[in-house]
Amino acid sequence: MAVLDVKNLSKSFGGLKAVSDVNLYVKKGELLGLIGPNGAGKTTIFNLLTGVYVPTSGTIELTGSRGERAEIGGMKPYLTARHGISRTFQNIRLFKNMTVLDNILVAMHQNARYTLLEAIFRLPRYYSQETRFAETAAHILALVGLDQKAGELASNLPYGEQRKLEIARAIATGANVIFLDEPAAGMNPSETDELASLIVNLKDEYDLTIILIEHDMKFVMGLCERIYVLDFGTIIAEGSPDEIKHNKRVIQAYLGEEA
Amino acid sequence: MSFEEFLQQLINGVSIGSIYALAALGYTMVYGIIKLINFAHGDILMVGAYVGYACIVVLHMPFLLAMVVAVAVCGLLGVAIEKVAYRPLRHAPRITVLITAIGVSFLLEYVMMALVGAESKAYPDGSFGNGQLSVAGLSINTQQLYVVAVTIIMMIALQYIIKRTKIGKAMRAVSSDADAAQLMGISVDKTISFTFLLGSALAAVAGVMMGAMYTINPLMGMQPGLKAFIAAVFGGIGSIPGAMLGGILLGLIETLVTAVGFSAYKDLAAFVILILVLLIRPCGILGKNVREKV
Amino acid sequence: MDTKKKNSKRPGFDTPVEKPAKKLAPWQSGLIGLGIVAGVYLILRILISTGVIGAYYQGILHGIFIDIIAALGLNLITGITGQFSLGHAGFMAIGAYTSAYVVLHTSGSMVSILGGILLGAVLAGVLGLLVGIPTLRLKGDYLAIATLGLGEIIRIFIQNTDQQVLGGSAGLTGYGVYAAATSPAGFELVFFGAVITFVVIRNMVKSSHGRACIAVREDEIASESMGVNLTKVKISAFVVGTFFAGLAGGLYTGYTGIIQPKSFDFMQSIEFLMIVVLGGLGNIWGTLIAAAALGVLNMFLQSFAEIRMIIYALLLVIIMLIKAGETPFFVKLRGLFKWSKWNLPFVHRKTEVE
Repeated sequence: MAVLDVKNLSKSFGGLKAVSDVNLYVKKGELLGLIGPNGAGKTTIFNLLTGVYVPTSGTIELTGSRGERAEIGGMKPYLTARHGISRTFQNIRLFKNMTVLDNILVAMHQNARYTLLEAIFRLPRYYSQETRFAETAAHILALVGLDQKAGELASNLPYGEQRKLEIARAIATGANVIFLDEPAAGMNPSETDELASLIVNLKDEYDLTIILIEHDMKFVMGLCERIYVLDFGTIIAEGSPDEIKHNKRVIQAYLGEEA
Repeated sequence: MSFEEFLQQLINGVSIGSIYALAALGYTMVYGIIKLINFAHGDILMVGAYVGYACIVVLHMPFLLAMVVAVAVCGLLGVAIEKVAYRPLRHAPRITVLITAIGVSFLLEYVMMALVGAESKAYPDGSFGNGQLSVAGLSINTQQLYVVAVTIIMMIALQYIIKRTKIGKAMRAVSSDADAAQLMGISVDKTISFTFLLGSALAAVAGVMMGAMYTINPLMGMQPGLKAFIAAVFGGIGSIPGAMLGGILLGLIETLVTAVGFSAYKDLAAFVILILVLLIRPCGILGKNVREKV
Repeated sequence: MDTKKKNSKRPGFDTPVEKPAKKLAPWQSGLIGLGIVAGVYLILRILISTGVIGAYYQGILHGIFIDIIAALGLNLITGITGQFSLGHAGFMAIGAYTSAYVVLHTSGSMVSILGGILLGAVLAGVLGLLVGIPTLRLKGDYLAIATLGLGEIIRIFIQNTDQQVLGGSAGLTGYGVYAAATSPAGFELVFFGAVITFVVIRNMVKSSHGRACIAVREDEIASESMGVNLTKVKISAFVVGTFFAGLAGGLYTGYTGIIQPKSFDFMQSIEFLMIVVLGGLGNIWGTLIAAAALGVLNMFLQSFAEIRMIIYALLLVIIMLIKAGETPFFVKLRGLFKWSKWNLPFVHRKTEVE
């Protein structure tokens, strides 16, 4: 079953067509890779699917956990988040001056069922929700191995842990579709291996659908079940890692015309 | 309002608008290059007015020479302020630098007040020409003509510096991408210093002329400072022709509001324009829209 | 999948997660807070009643509490939510003029006084909502200028109203001195006004809504992608903040006995900003201390207006240059003057191992 169904998606900035006529689908529970040379439009597609950009044309259909369908193209990011979509950022965007725990709690804000007035007057619903939030947050932090650092400021974490916290934060929104924008960027091989198993474990634990952009080919090929290759804003290939490795157009795109 | 009166108001509007435009250029250049609303800019104008006053009254200099001295002093002051207060905060959040600028503004105002007292002073009569010219039934104050002429000369000079000189090219480069400019061998620090020098010098010119036309006091920079900023936003902040256009338009609107009998609401008009521009077209008349990269 | 098998011991996944350590129960910390408030109240009340705090010092005390109310509101908008407002005094004016108007046109009883103050706060909040919806779309310095403009518009507008209605530039007076030093209930009004403000802001900050506010300050794009409705968060912070500016205005009306448009100019907004910055942006305890410290400083410098402003200006610049951020100024200064920082490089020191 397709969780996301993207049809004829295009985005242009002024005269520049960053993404043109992209068709893709994401199956439920899939670990999908999106690769391509620099400037191919990968992050633009993420921004379109998460609501940061409004598509110039095309549709993005999301199928929710209960089978309900929604057109999310052009929807604001906080609304796509409410539909169960979340993401990490290529250039880490944590809430730097907040604690690790608070970073997670912010992501749960959309699930807060108490009003501002209930918070101000400290009514029972505030306490019951906050207790539940704290437990869920502790659980997520433990899964990514940051439970010992819950009280630290996010900016004080080492780079690798900041990446993990971003993933944990995305999960804390309660999303079932998660976009990871270069999760392994700047990591050494052992950290990358650790990250790969973490992603698989989290996917199983929370029953997630994961779409990731990555330049580390070993990482992508080892982790993803299916891969889309993007070049100059269009999809040039789709298939299993093995198929992609031997695809002529992909090799051409990466190595140039001669190859 | 008769046609003569209308023309008269038009001239008044253009002359006060010229002063706004001169000051607005400083805002727009500084904003264009380091994305800072230099709150202290209006107070540099005030310092310029006082330096000019001192030169004329104490040192008995001719008007033009006094203006040159004021330009030099204010140019250096602007460079010094940037070096001491803004440069250490170049990578800090913008709100931090903005608060600093407000602090610098107050510092200039009240240090000046402590030095020369709070009372208003006037330039000696006739120091900036004060004749009346009669043209086709209109009486034109020569001061107004001088203001417009000086402004036009300044603008042409500025356009030349920015479009034709090496340092002007560097300014444009730094304002479009400071990091890339640095990699191309442009000294970002020097370019920013030069921008402050230029902006402050223009403010001094405006200050001396304002001082000669009205009276001077340590808080005189606040209102024209705000107006000039509004003018810069109106025309499109970061755009030099925009600052000129915004200044003149604002001057005209204010004079017209006064002319139709709402002088008490003159200042209100400026702020209303500001808010309308910000809401309807935040990039101003001639500005460009930029968005944050994700 | 083989990655799973390789990693047979999965921390957190296979082992049970520890529950977070229990802190004080809500009723316990609530009781402690109540105790502190009651203690401070009793001490001040006794000092006032016995005349140890005379009318002059009581006036200064009232001023400090009013500043606390307004500055806490501004801290919510600017320090916590990161929306730079320079028009706070304008909203204070709404509260002040509303309460004065109500008292002038009613019996002047305690009910009408309280009603007037509350109505003023509500109107300020409503105006905050109306102007917040369009202006809060603006970012950073643009918002600062727009709010500055709004504050000035409110002031100029009041200044140009009919003398009979709002007093024009001469101001309003004769509405009865109800909260000033001489009035028996004056102290209670400002004191509990400040306590309520503090509790409301604190409770808001320490809730999901408050965390959303801080997240918006930290990174708008990231918070929006995490499901935070930017507009809603900014506007609710702005409305609550302007509500308290209005409340401060209503109390100020009684405090001075006369209100004039020029009391609510740009300078007044800067005074509040000064308190917020001095206490640490986003730090609500810092706001309390900074308001008190500035109140005392103002008392000593009352007859030296220029020197006061020079000190203010220097403080603003220095606080920013030492990048205090959320740390209150005095704490940061202590850190700067830590003796180890002043050790000369050639003095041999044992390096600590982390």
